[in-house]
Amino acid sequence: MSKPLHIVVIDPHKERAFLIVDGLREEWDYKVTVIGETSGLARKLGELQPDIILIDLENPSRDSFEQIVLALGASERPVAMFVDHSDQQMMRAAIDAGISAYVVDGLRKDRITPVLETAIARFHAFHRMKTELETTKAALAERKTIDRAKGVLMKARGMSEEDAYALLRKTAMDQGRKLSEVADGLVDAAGLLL
Amino acid sequence: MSAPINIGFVPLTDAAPLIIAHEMGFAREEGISLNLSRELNWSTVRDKLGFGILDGAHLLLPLALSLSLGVGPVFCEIDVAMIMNMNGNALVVNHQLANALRVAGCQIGDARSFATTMIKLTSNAPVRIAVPYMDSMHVTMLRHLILRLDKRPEDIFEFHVSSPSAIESLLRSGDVDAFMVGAPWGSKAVENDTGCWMLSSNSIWQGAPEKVLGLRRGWVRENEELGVRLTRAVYRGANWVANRSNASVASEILSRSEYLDMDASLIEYNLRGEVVVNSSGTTIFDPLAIQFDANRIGFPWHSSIGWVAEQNASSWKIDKSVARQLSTECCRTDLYRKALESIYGPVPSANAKLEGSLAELTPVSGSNNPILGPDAFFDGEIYDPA
Repeated sequence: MSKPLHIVVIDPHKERAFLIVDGLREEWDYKVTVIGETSGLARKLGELQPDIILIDLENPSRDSFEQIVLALGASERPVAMFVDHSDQQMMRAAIDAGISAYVVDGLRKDRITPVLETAIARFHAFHRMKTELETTKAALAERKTIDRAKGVLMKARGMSEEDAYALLRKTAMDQGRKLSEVADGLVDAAGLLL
Repeated sequence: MSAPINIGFVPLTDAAPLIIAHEMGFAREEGISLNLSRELNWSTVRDKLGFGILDGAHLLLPLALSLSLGVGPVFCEIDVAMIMNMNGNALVVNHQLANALRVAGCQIGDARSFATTMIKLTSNAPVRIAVPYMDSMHVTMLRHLILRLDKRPEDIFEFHVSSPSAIESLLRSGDVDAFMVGAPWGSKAVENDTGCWMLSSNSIWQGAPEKVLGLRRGWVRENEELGVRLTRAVYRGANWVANRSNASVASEILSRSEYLDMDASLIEYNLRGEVVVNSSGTTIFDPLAIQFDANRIGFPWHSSIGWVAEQNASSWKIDKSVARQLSTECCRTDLYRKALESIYGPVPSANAKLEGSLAELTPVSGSNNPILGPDAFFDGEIYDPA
């Protein structure tokens, strides 16, 4: 039995980091460490001696980090970027998902592949969650403006809620615009007039 | 309309020709559509090119070369279709170093004075300076500046790497003493009073190519006609950006969250040739600080690109002549000429020239009256590629 792989995940997004850690621990016996704060990274990595490092491609510190990893490799232990250049498909999938992996040289491919597969799946899952959240947020914000626009109409023209909504909808349809845009315009204009 | 071309860019003012080509319809006019992909790190641009996720990118010239030569972690041959801009990098130092430089008599804005004063101040230890990537014009020019004064660059500068958007935070936290970065990130740090402006890169070399339109050679091989149209669209975008009466509109577009995601006013300074020199917002007018005028600077010269390759040869551990020869293969002067032919754009008849020999705007031989220059080095050096 070889000793468990030590995987370091560098990610300032707590939720995503946990998602990855859970995924990695679910099926395999890995030691996983999360680094959220990138200051003092050189020292931390030197102490942790990881076998595999995973970092988000969007992390603004990735370039700094890469210099540190390469420096560690030169002085202490060899580090190869990417698993194996023959495995183009897997690396492409990783980059598409927004993840990059740095792997200690000499690590066998069959030990790396499941780690990357899990990380890729979790990155995609996180992305879906984020999209959902943002869409919901936008929808809520839209609803808020529409509610305010209705309020303006009800107050200024003594309309019922139902009539105010119908008027907004009709205006939007007549002008070929989104309901939220018409509401936005009305709220803005009301702000100037009242 | 063809399938969208996937092009990467890093949020910097000099991505403008590409963004404008897309936003102002120059690409559409060519019957092409662009899928612009915003990347914070140069290593990510590099990897995405290497794995064929991007067809091309707004690229640091030395990175285009190291990718093509296979001297970095990723090997991917890149064709340089055009120079997108000249210069645009600012050197900013923390307040302590700025004071030390002033006390030691450094003339701010003057490359030679800066270098000689730095040599004095670093007799014990080098200063820590952040740069966006090691294969960059930033490192190339700082090393050259010191080498020309017969000193070893590593005795003066200890290079740290940071993406442009994160570089100011490194200076603020004290992890580095200085940084050199592309516009508008230098102006931003100066305006925030995080550091003091010392130098614009054009004070080292007026004719320094900075970002290029780099296309994967494999992609160009299969899509040459698209490559020509893309080059023409970016060429027209660059000329549009160079026109100062477009500065307000261009900076508004660039400031959007999908592009630079920052205050338009700093970008507008860059596009108007104004350099922010202190935190109270004082600017100096320096039209060479960042240049987009593709009519004058767009041509991918064998000589200027070869100069950059030679300068980096030792850090890439290859022979100078090999570096230069391989870099020549990257210069798609043929593609550029083809792109400009149909619109009667100015192109020189030569592929190489003496670098550093033009003190002012100078007409040269070619079609449609090409005008070049100025391109002087700080010490009057003339580089003869022959």
